[in-house]
Amino acid sequence: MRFIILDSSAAAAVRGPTSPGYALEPVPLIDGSGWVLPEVCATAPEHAMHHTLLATMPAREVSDAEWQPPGE
Amino acid sequence: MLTGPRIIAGRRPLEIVRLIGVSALQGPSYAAGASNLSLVGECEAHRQRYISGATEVIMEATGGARRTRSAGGSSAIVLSSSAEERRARYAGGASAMTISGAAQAVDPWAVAALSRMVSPPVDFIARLDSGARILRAAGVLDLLDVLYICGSYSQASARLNLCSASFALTEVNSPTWTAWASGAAPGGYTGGGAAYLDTGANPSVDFVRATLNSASYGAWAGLDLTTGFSLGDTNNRVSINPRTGGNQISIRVNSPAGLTSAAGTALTAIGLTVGNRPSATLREGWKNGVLIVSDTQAPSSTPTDLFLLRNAATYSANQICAAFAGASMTSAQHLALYGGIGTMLGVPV
Repeated sequence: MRFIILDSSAAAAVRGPTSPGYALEPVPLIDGSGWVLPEVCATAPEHAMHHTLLATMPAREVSDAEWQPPGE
Repeated sequence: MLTGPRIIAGRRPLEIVRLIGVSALQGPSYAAGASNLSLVGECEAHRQRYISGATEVIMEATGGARRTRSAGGSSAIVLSSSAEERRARYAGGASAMTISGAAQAVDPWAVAALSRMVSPPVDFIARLDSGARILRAAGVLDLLDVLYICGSYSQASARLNLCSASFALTEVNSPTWTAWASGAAPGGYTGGGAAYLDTGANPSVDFVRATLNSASYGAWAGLDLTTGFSLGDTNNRVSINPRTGGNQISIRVNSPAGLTSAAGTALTAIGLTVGNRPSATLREGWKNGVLIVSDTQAPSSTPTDLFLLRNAATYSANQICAAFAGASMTSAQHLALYGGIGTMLGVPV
């Protein structure tokens, strides 16, 4: 799945409510190299307040093992 | 007094509207703001969509409110004699509603929930009403802190806690919402890629029914996946995994220690999976109203937050059709819970 890759300052800037009923919460990469958000967040209208910033961030395929522990 | 009008739209605010005899209110879209709307005799409100804001609505004799969609906000609604309320399911916000004769009132819990929704369609109202009656008959409505029917007619209504005006869901990281559709899966929110739903509740202080030694948490999954938590919290105090790779259910209720059923006891993730704690020395896992597993694990503490499609740092790609939290339930109440939520979702149960 494709994710937007954020540095710490960008993650802090977008974290929180974006419009009534919607929010962003970047998830840390397990190796500590950055944070991720689903790529769809860069264009979803409910997160429009952060579209400009998110458009400057790189995006790539990220495996599950890079950002979440194995499920039970 | 109006006799036989076709259209009264645009004449707001209306203080008194009274239709007598065979006059038909077939055309008006708005009687909003009327302080008194009286339909007498053979009047019919066939296409009357809005009478919201009226302080009194009276339908007498053979007057029928067969297609009255909304009386929301009205302070009093009176349907008498043979007046029909069969399709007038929505009286949300009414402070008083009197039904006599053969008419039947909508369940008051459903009325309260509907009052927070915008233009719910008749089929949704009927499902909600029917499901609420099942839950009420078994005493389940009095046990719930929150209930979400995500397989709904609108995204805004899918986020609502139907038990109160508090703890509406927040969509975090853009989960995908699918509307309920007749003959299809019930719809709801699908996760994947760190998307989840936050209830905004701190059960340890916000919930009055769910407590340390009496609690029940559950979710209705819409996809048959073999990994992923339907429900959880930051600290692993509650969680629901509807199907593991070993075809088991796995639950937590007020303890970080998990309870997993025997291999082969969960052949599908789809349906209602519930973690129940009846006491300090018993916890149970239920699937579709049937007890699957139990043990004597003691509780440690209650959760301080509550998510759907997420538990701690793991996220689910499943679909959540409905979810709830509340006090412990009996076996009869678990069966009613399955039937009531299934009815609200339009799923044969």
